[in-house]
Formats: sequence, C-alpha cells, structure tokens
Amino acid sequence: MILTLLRWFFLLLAGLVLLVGLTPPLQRKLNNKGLIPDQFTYGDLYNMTNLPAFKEENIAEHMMLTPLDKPAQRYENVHFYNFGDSFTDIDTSYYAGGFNFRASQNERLQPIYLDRSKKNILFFQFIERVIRERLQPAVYPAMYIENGIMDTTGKGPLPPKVASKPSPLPDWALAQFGHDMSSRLEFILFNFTPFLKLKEAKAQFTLDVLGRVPAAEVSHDHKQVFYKIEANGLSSSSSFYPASAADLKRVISVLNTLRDYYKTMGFDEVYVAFIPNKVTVLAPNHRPHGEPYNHFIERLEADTTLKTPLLSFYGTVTKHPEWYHLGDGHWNNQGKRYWLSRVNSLIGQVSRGDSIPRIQY
Amino acid sequence: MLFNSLHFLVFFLFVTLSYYSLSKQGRWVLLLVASCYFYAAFIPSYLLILGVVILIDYFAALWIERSSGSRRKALLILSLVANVALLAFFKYFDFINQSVNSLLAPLGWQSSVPMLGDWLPGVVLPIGLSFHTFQSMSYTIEVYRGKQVAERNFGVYSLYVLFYPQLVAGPIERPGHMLPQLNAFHAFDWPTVRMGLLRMAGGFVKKVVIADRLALVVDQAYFDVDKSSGTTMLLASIFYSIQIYCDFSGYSDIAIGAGQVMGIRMTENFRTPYLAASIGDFWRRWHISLSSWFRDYVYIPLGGNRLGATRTALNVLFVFGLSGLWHGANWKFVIWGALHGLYLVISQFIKPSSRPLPIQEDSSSTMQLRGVGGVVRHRINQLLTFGLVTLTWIFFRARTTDDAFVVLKKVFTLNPSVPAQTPLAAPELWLCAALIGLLLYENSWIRYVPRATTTAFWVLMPLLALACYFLGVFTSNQFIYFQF
Repeated sequence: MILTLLRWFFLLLAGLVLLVGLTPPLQRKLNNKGLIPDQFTYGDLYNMTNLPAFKEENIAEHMMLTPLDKPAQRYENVHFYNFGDSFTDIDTSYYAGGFNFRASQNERLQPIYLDRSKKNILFFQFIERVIRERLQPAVYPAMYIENGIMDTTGKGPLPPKVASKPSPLPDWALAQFGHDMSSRLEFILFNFTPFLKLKEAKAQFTLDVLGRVPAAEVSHDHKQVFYKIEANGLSSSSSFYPASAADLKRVISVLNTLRDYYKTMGFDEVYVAFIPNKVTVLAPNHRPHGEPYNHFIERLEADTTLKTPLLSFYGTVTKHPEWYHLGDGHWNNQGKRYWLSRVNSLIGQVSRGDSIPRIQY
Repeated sequence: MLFNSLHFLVFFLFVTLSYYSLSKQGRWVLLLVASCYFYAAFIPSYLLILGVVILIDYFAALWIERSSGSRRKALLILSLVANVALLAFFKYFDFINQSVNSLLAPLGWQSSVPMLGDWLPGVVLPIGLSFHTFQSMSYTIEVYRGKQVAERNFGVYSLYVLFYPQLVAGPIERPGHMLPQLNAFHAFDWPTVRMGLLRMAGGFVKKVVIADRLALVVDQAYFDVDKSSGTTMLLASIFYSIQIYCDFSGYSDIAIGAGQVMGIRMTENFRTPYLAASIGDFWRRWHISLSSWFRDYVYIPLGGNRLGATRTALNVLFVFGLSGLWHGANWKFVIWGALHGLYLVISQFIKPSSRPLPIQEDSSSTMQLRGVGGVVRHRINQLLTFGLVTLTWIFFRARTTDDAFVVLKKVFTLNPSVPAQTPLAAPELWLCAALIGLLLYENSWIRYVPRATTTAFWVLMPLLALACYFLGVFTSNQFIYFQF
C-alpha cells in the first residue's frame, strides 16, 4: 500500500515537473508566485558557476532603475528607436524622446510607422563580444534587416533578399523542444537553498582542487568571473582574440551599409555605441593564451571611414569597474544610468538641432 | 534527448513508474509514445524519416512472409534498397557528390549537382539513422530467411525500431531477441530493477566522470593539431581510445540498464575490449552488435572464410571498409575501417608459432596462459593490440584525413623531453589513471563488490550518484556515436 502510494506520488511529481519544464509560461507563473525559485536571483554568471564568491544577494536592487531615473524633460519632436541587446533592455519610458521604441533582433520584422514630421533617430548598441560575430556580411541581414524594423508607411525600402533560402520544413519540425529543457528542469528542481549549497560545494571543489570553472572564466586572482566566450581568447567574441585590419574593415562596411539602409528607409540619422565586455573593463590583462587585449572598440571608434556617428562609452566605462555586476555579465543600474544620460543628452541635441560631431566622448 | 541530462532522468522516472502502473496493452503504447517524445526532443521532423523506414519494413515483411521464390527475394531486395537509399540520401549524398567532384576535377569537369543543404536547407542527418536502419533491415532479412514471423501489430513493430533506450546508438537488436520481449508482460522484479539501475549508474560514471574528463584533453589537442606537440598528441590519442570506449560503452550500459529496469534484456555490446590480445579478439569484444550484424548479413553471405584465402581476405577488407563507411561519410572513417581489415588480413598470413604479433589470430579469451612466459607474451600482445587500435582511432578522431596524418607524423617523431600540454591538473590526471586502471581490469574486481542485496544497492547508488555529481564533467554533452 505504501509502495503504491509512493509510486503514484513520484509519478505525479515527475509528470508535473515535465509539464512545467515543457511550458515556460507556466514556469514563469510559478516563479512569480514564489513556488519555484527565480533562476536570475543571484546573477547569470553565478547560475553558471555556482561559486559562492560571486553570489550577489541583492542583485535585483543593483539592477533596477527607479522612477527617479526617468527623464525630467521630454523632446516631443524626436522619435527615438533603439536597436540593442540585453545591456540596453530598458523600459522605453526612461528615454527622453517624444516616442521611444525598442527593437530586438530576436524577434521577426517589427513594423513601425515613421512620423516624418518628427526627427527620427535610430540607435544601434552592441556589446563588444557580438561585434565581429554579428556585423559580418553573412550574418547581419538576418539579424538587423530581415528581423529588423520596417517602415509601414510604404516609403521605405524593402528588406534586401539574402542568400539563405527558406527551409522546406515548418519551424515546429525543425525545433528542438528538448533543447533548454534540462536547464529549465534544473531551475525548477535544484534552485532551492539546500541544493544551491550542494552546487556551491561542488563548484568550490572543482576550482580549488582541479583548478577549473567549467562554465565560465575566472580572473587569475579569482576575484572576478566572466563569460567564457568573452574571456577565453578562443573566438572572435573574446577581447583577447586577435582582430585584423580586415575584421575592422568588414565591421565598418556593414555598419555603413546599415546606416545607408535605414537612412533610405526614412530615419534622419543612425547612431552607434559599443559597450566594452566585462573582462575588458575588469581584467584587461587577463591574457588567457598570452594574447593581449585587442583594443577593437578603440580601433573602430578611431577609424574615420566609419560614417555612422557614434557615442563612445569605452573611455568612461573602463574607468568604472563598479558599474558591472559581481555575479552577472551585464552592467548594473549605474551603467544603465550612464547609458541613459548619454542617450537622452543626444536626444536633446537632436531636438535642438545642435551640430553633432562624428564621435562624442 | 541525451542520456546524461536532467531531462532524461525525469523522463525515465516518469516512463518507468507509468510502465509499472499499466496493463500489458497500455505498456507498448506508453513505450511507443515515450520513444517518439525521446527522439522528437532532438528535432521532431526526425520522426517522419523514421516513420518511412518503419512503414517500408513493416509492410515489406508481411509481403515477404506471404511470398515465395523470386518474388520473395525481389521484395526483400526492394525493402533493403529502400532502406539503403534513405540512409544514402541523408548520410552519403554530399560525400558521394564531393568524391565525384574530386575525381572529375583533374579532368577539368565539375558536377552540377548541389549539396544537400543547398536545396534542402535546414535538413540535417537524423541522429542514429544508421543504427535504426540496420535494426530495421535485420528484421526483414530474418523474416525472409524464415527465422522470424512477421509482426502483425504495427505499434509493437514500430516500438521494435523506436524503443528509446537503444534508438540512437544501439545496441543494434535482432527481432528474434526483442519482439518477444516487447510482446510479453514483465512483472515488477526488484532484484532485476535494482541491477538495471546500478548498471545505468555505472554507465553515467563512465560517461561523465571518465569520458567527458578525457575529452577536455583530447578536444584541446585535436582542436589545432599543428599547434600541439608530439607528446600532447600521443597522450591525447591514448586518452581518446579510452574516451570513446567509456563514452560508447557508458551509453550502452545506460541503454541496457534502462531496458533491464523494465524487464527487457538487451544484447551486450562490449566485453573489456582493451584486454584483447589480437585484432580479431578486439572485434569480438568491441561494438559486438554491429560486428555480428556485419558478420551475419554481409560477411557470411559473401562466402565468409569458406572460399579460400584470397576471397576471405577480400571479404574481410570489404566488410571493414563498409563498417568504416557506416560510421561516417568521410574518407577518414573508410581508412579507419580499412586499417582494421588490413590488420586482420595480415594476421591470416602470419603463423602463430613463429611470429607472436598482436595481429595474429588467437582466442585469448579462452587460451591457457602457461607460465610466466605465457603471461608476459599475452600482456605484450594486449599492449600491442591497444597500440594498433589507438593508431586507427587517430583517423576516427581527427577532423580531417590531413589532420590525422599530421598527428601520426607528430607522434612518430615526438621529442620525449617536451612535456604534454593538458588542461587537467595533476590530481585529475592521477584520478584519470586510477579510473582507467579500474576500468581495464573491471572483470578482476567487480565480482568482489557485493551488488546483489537491497542494502548494497542503497549503499552503492548514492556513492555512484555522488561520484557522478562531484567528479563529473558536464561540459561535453554529446555522445560520440550519436553522429552515426
């Protein structure tokens, strides 16, 4: 009798866990109700490494912007469009434009209506690790044009046809529904405090005894943690992967093409900003394989063949390592505030019709 | 779905508990649905291809059973051609296309046939296609030979091909062994269940503690063979021999254990292959379900060793070349297979008494080792066999044939004073050495480990689970044999 009860209990439990794992909206709902722990409680790099030294207990506090960060003044004659990544995943109410729109390359073509009675500006933002990966001829159309934004007034150009052909099979047939299932299940089952203690014990053992951190890269003094791809020097995402003149030329050419494309669509100007990797700011001498920091952002910004006007963040951000989270790969609310101050200042300049130099520091 | 994932563990718990809560009728339906879910977790469209294989062979077997004479043979050939065509289309189309182009290039010609990915973008080789195609083909052949009654229940036959534990990397089962078990009702038997669970746990240890740890060394060395030293390549190549064994036999252990938990016994795939004292012996211990498939359905029908020495040699070379091609659509796999074939052919021409080389045929598993000399000779043969096998694995692991030749050159001209570069710390290397030793001589100590009682189970299971968790490496997830 007891065995039968146990069997049914575990059967129902396993079924329920599978069901929640297979339905991310249900998982989010349970997250919100506090029934299962939130996977972002202590930062993404802590989740990857489980090293107790990088557990940022009050990360939410360091992450959130407050109503006080909203602009005191709005510039109604400027419509601001932002095309960025997770670093600038900020509610549009924090921007000073009369209308503010955030596009994402993770979504399909996003329709917009360009009000030509206003000054429409588009702002591209790239974190250093994606610059060479995404801004190359074979990749950028899919990310920033096909899945970009499209003026529905009908006056803008149609997205150019790209080489990739449509798949003969529908999306569901090509999906890997089990792809992220294990990590979702891990958060459902093993993100409770006792399990976290066990995971921390394992992570510390692996670091202390075996000298390894499997899912991330730790600085030589073990005081900072970074995404592997940006710190290991093995791919173009890394700050320590050599960057050739051809790489530079390729990225600049793509940025100029993007600017031309969106200006033809009807934008008054297209701007760009590059945010340095966490490792660039906190450990520029990390040199995992002896290669020095490649200074790619500085070289890009200094190149006068780049027609797209830019706001430089490199100089200031590298002086403020405290703007990055301890247990997360992103910047905290101080970094976000600096971003907002720069962008909102630009919106003001555009509104007033100030002369805007090619590069602003 | 990967065995070494949390997804699998939860899935396995759910399926097993459901299995023992259902009647006989419900069980095959459950296992069929579960197997479809298991496979679709990779990419759902894979199921369509598998569905075609199942349909072809299900109906072919029914027609073959009802037919006789030349019609019976024609139906068999038709079904085999359909299976091979499907395999060839997904696995070998680009390989054949590229090979034809390389042959035509010196003449200034080029084939205008596009690569598969160019006209069917998004379509990739379904995981484990070679495994389930072979399993399905063995069914129609057995029905043709009259050794197997065609299965009437389409669901049960589908389950024979789809049964999730062995779906993507074997063992390649035979219908005479599997179908009766899938049709039977297996009552819950705790001793069988706990032995199955222990077998699975052992498989997980092999995979995540040993194979994936050695992969750290191997992957780094083979990532850029030009930059790695000879000593690094030698260490990495030896480690790869162990890695592939732990990876594949670990997979087989988990598969066999998972079947055993449900009362279904599957074919053994390995018998401590690196203790083999000759290449022939090695093939009686390595990937047994595949080598016996080739033996029964290709080698023996070609005449086996009954038609004289030359024909036997040709048969061996053909079968091993085919076996290489089965592993992958790349010349490096063909070279790997051909080398094994060559070893065996050479062994036929060496007299046992005069040349005690490892490539000599002997039945070391049963031979009597006489005195110290016999033991020493046996150990030397084992070591040399391991060396010869490791040499062939270089072709298997290298990214290209050119890379393999670079590795060989580096290994044979290495400077012993240059230390090997490895990402593993010293304690980890010692751990690897200890685990490899334990693994190689598994048969010598395993019998002393009490496993038969419930108490032993409750002591061993947590120990193995903790070993997996604390010593496991969870960064290299994929099983090597999935790609085939």
